[in-house]
Amino acid sequence: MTALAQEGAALAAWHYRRLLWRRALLVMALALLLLLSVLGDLASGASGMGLGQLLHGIVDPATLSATERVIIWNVRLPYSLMAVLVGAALALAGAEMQAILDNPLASPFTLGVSSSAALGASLAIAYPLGVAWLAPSAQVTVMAFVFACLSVVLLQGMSRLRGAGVESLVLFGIALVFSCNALVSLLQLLATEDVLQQLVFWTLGSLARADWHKLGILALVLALLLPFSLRAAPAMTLLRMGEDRARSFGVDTRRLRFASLLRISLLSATAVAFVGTIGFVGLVGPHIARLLVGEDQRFLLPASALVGALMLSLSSLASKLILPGVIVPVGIVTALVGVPVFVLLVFRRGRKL
Amino acid sequence: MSLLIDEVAVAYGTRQILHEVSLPELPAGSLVALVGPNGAGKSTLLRALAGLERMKGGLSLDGQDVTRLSFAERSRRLAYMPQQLPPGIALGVLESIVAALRVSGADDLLGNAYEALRQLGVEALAERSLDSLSGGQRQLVALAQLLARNPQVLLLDEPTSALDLHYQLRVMGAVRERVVAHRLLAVAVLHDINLAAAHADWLVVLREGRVVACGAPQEVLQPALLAEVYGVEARVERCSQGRLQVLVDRALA
Amino acid sequence: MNHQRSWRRLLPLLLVLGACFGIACNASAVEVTDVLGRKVEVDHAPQRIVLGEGRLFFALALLDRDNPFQRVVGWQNDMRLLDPHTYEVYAKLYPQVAKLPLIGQASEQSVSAEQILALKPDLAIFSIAGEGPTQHSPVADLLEKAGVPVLFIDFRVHPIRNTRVSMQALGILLGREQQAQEYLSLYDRHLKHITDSVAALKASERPKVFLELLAGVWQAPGHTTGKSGLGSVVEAVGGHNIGADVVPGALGDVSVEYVLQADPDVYIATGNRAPGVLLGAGVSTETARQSLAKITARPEFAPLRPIQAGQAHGLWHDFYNSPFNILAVEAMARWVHPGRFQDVDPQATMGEINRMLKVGLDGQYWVDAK
Repeated sequence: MTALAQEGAALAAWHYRRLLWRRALLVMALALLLLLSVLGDLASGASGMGLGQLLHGIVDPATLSATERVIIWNVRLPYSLMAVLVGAALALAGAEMQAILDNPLASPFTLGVSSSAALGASLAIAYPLGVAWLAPSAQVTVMAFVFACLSVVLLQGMSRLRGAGVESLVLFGIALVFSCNALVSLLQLLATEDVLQQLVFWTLGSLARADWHKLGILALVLALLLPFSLRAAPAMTLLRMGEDRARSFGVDTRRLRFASLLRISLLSATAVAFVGTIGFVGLVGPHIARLLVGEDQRFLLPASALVGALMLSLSSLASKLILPGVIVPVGIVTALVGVPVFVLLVFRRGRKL
Repeated sequence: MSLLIDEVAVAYGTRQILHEVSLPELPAGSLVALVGPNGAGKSTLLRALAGLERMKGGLSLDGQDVTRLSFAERSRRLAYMPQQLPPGIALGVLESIVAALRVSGADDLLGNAYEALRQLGVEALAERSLDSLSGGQRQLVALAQLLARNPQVLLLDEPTSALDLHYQLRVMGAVRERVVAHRLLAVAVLHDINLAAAHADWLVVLREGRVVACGAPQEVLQPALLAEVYGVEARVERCSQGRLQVLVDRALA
Repeated sequence: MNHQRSWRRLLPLLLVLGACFGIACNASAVEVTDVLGRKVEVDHAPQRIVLGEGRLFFALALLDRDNPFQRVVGWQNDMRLLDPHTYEVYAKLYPQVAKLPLIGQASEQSVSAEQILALKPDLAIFSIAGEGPTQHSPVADLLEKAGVPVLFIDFRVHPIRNTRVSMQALGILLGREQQAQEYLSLYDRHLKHITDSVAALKASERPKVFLELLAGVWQAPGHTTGKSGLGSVVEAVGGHNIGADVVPGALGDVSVEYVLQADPDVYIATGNRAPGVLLGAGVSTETARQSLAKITARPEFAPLRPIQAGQAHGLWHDFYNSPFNILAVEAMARWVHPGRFQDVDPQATMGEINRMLKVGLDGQYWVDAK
């Protein structure tokens, strides 16, 4: 290389490294925002307990009344943490879905994973098994999880039929959404009064079902799967440049897809099984992250998780503040915020979407 | 270095796309153009060579049976370039090449990537974002991505289809230059028969999954062949600069 | 030695006194069994009650007669939305009603557990089904963890069976047994009078009843109930609810054809707002009758025999979740078996109930076409 070329190379390298640094900083900024949002979420609630009181109560539990203890440990902490974990899980699953299915509209919500979970839960609510070792409420969660996983298996199976492309996968996912919703409506028709109410309550997402067991499981799932996601990130970045191109670089796209779909099913099934259907986080989160850090999956995947967590944490905060004393269901807030943001994104990116 | 294609056949279910295609040994340092009407099986042959389609038959590079290699190994030697880089990817130019090299396990990713851009004369695009480039610029970047891996055989699927005149020439020129300088082999599916005639050392004419002709352009491009393969009445002439030109007069019934 | 003997004589007295003291301390500790069979215990008469649904307030109105809102510290907004006329009357009498903290709007999803806890209640009253937290709601678990007793009542799913269980449990818990008993003796007497009379009826002797819920308001004609809720009231008064034959769950829309082919003997439309049957607090007979006429004028059900004969009836829709459902029972009994129940007078019963309430039921709660 000539001296001029060397200089050019050094400059390009400098720019490149600066780009990476900027991205890393953005990810860290997202993490910081998330922390602030969680603190804000922990600090707000109808009882008027402030952040200082809450932290003091954690450090020195002897001073708390039973009510305050329940508010801290059974209401504020679980709801806030659940928002973070579910938001992260849904957005991470959404980001991977958008990468491997090559479709910007892919998300656990749009491809029927949430609807399948709702169907499983509805079946468990309407026809509980009288087994001693599994409480009815646990049955609901388990069935939701099983059905969500089944839907992803079905999607994967569809993708292997006669070399069907990603378009048919998305169409099948949409068909799944409609059929599962219809079946849930059928169950509602057949239901007695209190079953009906439970069904309706379940199909609307709610952080109020959070407890420490569920938090632990979801945290474990995220902690176990995130490293695998990151390891697959370089190959997925290549996949974004076209399937054939990725294959021509030696990427085993079939295995990449399979492993990714496995992660997607575990993440979204667990999240939906614990809180019900919360839309738009899995769809809009990755898009916002992409605007910030671009298509390099090594940054996009963690950024999506952080954006998703931030979205849901802020929605949890908003749902408490909009009407004092009244909770606006968090799924409504994410939709109300998510839809305009999504439309804005579509217009900004134009045909680049 | 040479590539031997022996009785390569590809079928989709019961439909036979390629019928035992055999070609004489293709030598290094040459550019081979695959031409023919739509549906002739040109892309299919290229993809079969790349290992992207299930094929029957023999394929050897320098005497070594390529079909026995692992997919990763094969793709390192026979590098396939699809028609277009998808638009709207939020990646930097240099970044996209580095990302590709990272997966194929090279070292000094940045250096190799930049060098690949420089050799094609597009190093000024290094800091640009892919989605801000024109189609032609993107194609050059894709080519750089391909060449950065130093493959022995380039398999290019309609590399100039969506490009304007300027970039058609630049891309074909860059490929030819690289092929000659490094003694590589390039097999390109080309739609434009004149472009093929201008840049290729060998022309392989396919029709309905079979090889109809194979040889130097001046031997292959005969009016009788063009009539049979393309259904057109055409003349083949040399222009004032000495290049072979196909001039189509009318379509035959 | 003398000291020892006097000490020994004192001991039994002390023990008795101690026992009395102990009993006195626990005197207000009370345990009841609610409609779900749960044991609910309070150690003193509750003074801070949270209502899972606003309209559960009417049960309290029968017990805390002088000041029905004295114990209520929080509720949902549904009563204000469903029965604004009654709400206004109460709000004028008791200004604190308007400022009563909300724990939710009018749905289970809107209920804030933390708000309930912040109000430091010593009793929460939930309905087993409805617009508030139910037995499966995480809110009920949370409250129990915080030591707040939760009482489940029901006027809705099995009104005939559960109204008395609910009122009795509530009366005992609140230390208002006498008031509860007063209402229940009225309730039981009137109910028994009807159910005894029809107990031996054969299926063929039960007139076919079509009970159309929210006629004219619901998105399609033929919205009716199955075997529970108001449907069970139809059965209790000796009628046969044609909806119960086909509706698999709690509620459903039957087809117009089915109704016409079933040829019911009795037609009852429920309503509480326009464009349906106007009934409830502050409504006059004339308004009610006119609104019913509009409903029966609909072409879908005009061929029905009772409508042709001008014998349609209208019933206040919100009886479906009210402790005053005995009025619905009596009104329906008169419509289903007019000959048998000529002596049943729901108007008089309403007068008797009103004597037990600070703010009585004032309006038209049922209406006949003629």
